[in-house]
Amino acid sequence: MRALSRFPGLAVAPLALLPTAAFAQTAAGEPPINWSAIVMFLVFIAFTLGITYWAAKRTKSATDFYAAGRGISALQNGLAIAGDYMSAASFLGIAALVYFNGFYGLNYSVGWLVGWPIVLFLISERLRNLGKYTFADVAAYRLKREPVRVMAALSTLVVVIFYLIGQMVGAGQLLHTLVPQIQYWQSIIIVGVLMIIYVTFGGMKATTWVQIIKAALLLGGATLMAILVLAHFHFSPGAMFAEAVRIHPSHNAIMQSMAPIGSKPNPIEAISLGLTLISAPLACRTS
Amino acid sequence: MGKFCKWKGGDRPSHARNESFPPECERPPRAARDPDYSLARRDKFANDTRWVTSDTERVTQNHRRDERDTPLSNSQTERIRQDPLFAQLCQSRSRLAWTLSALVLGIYLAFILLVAFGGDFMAAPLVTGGVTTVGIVVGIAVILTAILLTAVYVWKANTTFDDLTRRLLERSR
Repeated sequence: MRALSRFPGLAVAPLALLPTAAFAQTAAGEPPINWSAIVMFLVFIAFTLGITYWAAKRTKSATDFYAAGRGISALQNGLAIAGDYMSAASFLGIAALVYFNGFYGLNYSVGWLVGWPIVLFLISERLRNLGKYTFADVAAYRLKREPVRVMAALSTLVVVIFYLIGQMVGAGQLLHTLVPQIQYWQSIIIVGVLMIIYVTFGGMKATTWVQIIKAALLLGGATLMAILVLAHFHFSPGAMFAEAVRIHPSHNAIMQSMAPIGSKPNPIEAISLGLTLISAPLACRTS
Repeated sequence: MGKFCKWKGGDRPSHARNESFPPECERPPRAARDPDYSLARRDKFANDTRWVTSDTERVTQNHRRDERDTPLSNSQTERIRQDPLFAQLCQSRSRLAWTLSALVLGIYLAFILLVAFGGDFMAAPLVTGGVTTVGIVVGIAVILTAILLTAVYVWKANTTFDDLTRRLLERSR
């Protein structure tokens, strides 16, 4: 399941490389072919498929396939999990949420992040000590084998389907937006086929390395952007917020929104959202 | 590893699946299987005086190194289970894990409740006339605390717990 939960973000990774490409589209009539986007996309695909080929040649056993031969160091695995974490949801979904709803969007970042330390404190060490590959293996080790495996398979599929729908819509829409000549349904097929190739041929080694590269690119890019934006305001977050409030259509509401802008704050909704957010990594990362 | 790991008198019976192999069937040390590995080890530890000098002992040491990857035998597991150090390890680790989890959950719960019921407080500007609100600062503080507590756990795991585990394994041999 970790291999499965690891791959959906992959497909979006090449597109994250293209911060300027989105602005290259002109409004007038037929959009021009976005060559820089296509070339960068193809370069990234070739590069990651190369990694997959390299990993596939070295994958010879179940341990190689599911656990990268247990040869991934803590730092490498940490970066790969960070790559998982920074998926389409983080850099498309939350960015949009914060843009439209201000502070309310920040709640999502806080909730998702806070689930991780709890997974580390309570689950990860026990899971590692058992030396199994997947959560289903662990549950089956302790409990009655068959019903547990059936249940684990079902819940994994349900989680993956809903997780994938979001990821695929994000990835497909992004590719379609950057290169309008590719239809939305075509871009979903392209992205889906690539994901399947990465995982089935490369196993955990390829997915982990592609995720490490993705995490490094995203962390590097986001850090660079943050530094450049702050430099523009002479490293004063206050000045940056003031300017954001000035030019945003909702003005001061973005700093004060406890609920989506335009709706009435409701304590029960806020608590329910908070609990959902912290449960998500708990449920998702153990499977 | 088939050649080295035959169960005495034919295939390993299924009831013995969790038994350790008889000594002559143990997997040979990696240094014996892989000459490159053995050479690299020799270079790496050539100047280390704590390292054993004779070749046979070196192979034994390499074998021990490999043993970390092989499962413990039943008698070893039993010895570890009865070791007071093991109880100490389990107790201190679970105490730390639950304390830190309670801290993270408590802080996050307080944050949710503040968002739910303390809207006015969270929306108030940090300094009068400014735009940065208390909520932004609290949100960032929660994120930083989560990172800090993770660092505390990682530090304890890498020092105290790893140390205890190593001592336990050494004593069980």
